[in-house]
Amino acid sequence: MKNYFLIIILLFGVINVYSQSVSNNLYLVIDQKNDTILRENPKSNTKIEYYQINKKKNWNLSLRHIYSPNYVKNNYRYQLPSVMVEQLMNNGNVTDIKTFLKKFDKLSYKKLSQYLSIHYSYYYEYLDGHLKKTYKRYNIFLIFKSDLKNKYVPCYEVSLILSRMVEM
Amino acid sequence: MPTEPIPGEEECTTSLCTLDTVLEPNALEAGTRLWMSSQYRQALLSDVLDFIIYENDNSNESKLFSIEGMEAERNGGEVDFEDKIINELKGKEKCLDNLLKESGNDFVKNMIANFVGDDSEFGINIKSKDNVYYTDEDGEISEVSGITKYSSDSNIIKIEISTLKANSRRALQVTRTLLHEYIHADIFRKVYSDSINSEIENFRKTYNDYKNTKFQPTASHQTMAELYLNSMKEALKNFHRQAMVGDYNFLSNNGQNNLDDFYEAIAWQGLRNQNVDAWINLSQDRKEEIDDAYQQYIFAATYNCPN
Repeated sequence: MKNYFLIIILLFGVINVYSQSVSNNLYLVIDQKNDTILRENPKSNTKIEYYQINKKKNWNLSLRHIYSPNYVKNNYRYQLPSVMVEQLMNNGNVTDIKTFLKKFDKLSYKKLSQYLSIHYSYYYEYLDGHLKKTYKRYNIFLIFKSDLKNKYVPCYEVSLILSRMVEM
Repeated sequence: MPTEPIPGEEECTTSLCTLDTVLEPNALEAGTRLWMSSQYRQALLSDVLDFIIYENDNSNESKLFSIEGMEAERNGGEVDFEDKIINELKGKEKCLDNLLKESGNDFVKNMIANFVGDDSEFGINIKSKDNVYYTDEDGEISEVSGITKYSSDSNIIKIEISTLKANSRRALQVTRTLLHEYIHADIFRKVYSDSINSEIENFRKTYNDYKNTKFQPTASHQTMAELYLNSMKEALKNFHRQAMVGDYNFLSNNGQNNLDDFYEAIAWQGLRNQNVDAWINLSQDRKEEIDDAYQQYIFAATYNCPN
């Protein structure tokens, strides 16, 4: 019984580490000059926001990098060496955000919700006092095109908010 | 003959020229700009410029709200720049909406207060349309009593109420439609708010649980049934007693009949046909009680909004 328990804990650990590993992440490149990016307002908890609207399929998708002092669910922000980013590009982990979102044009709200959940989400575990809790995160990060030429490239994890545009 | 200054060519000496320089070129429809140029619109023009320049530091949100506001005023609507509410309701639905705001209970007042004032992130544009249509995932179009719209390119949540449906329904049913759409607006507000607090966090947990695990019906309707149904029922009950005294006295036989199940039946409209879990989980006996109360009273309820 004790052994089973240990195996389950070990599996949880492996899944968690794997889901957060750099090679398992998707990095979306945004162009500050051409892409609509909202809220670079220092007072806002949402530091960066990129959105996609699909009127025909009735959904609104918002990708937000959130950071607020004293908030336990802030998004990661880290820097990767440019050599590593190049490697990730070669592996197909880095893509232009418009190209990535284009493939969702024909997806319904349900299908998109399922797709994002299956391919990019995982449950993050944390301790709240003595209680172990989980919440859903996505392995999706934003990178600014202008940062790609730097020695270290800042990567901003995002929270995904998906809803219908019209409710009856 | 005095000519109007051309934007960009000289310093503005008129409010209209200032408006042209503040807004993006052609952002305002030509007809609306012409309408705004009348001397009778000077007060409105001043409100718009104060709102954009002095109160909102030229923010894009304030410009978008102002454009919609000016267009609404031109179409006979009312704009409250301070509260960020555009009201283009007409007829019966306008009458009931006014009554709801005047004599609604704390639930209604608090919900609407979240969209009001300088601190609110989102404004509301509520309007009447002759007919309102909803297109589902399969492209099928149906005529509905109301819809609520939100997209990230604007911080104005838009509500459309069908005049045709409102005129053919009992006053309490139309009030239910107004409440239902305001609740959708409140759900959009909580889903997209930039605020981080326990109310928003708890709400999102329920909403996301529905979104992540159950794909039919919508997370918004599931959440409404789970978190708002009782408040809706109480709001309808309070509204009926306070604002529709004659109808209440008639249906309740001057307070002798308990109408609680009837209010609940009305609150379920627009949710039960969406197959939400909260309805499915009710016992068959409870469903029958609710249906019986509806059948007993609905045909005697008034169509009219008391003026």
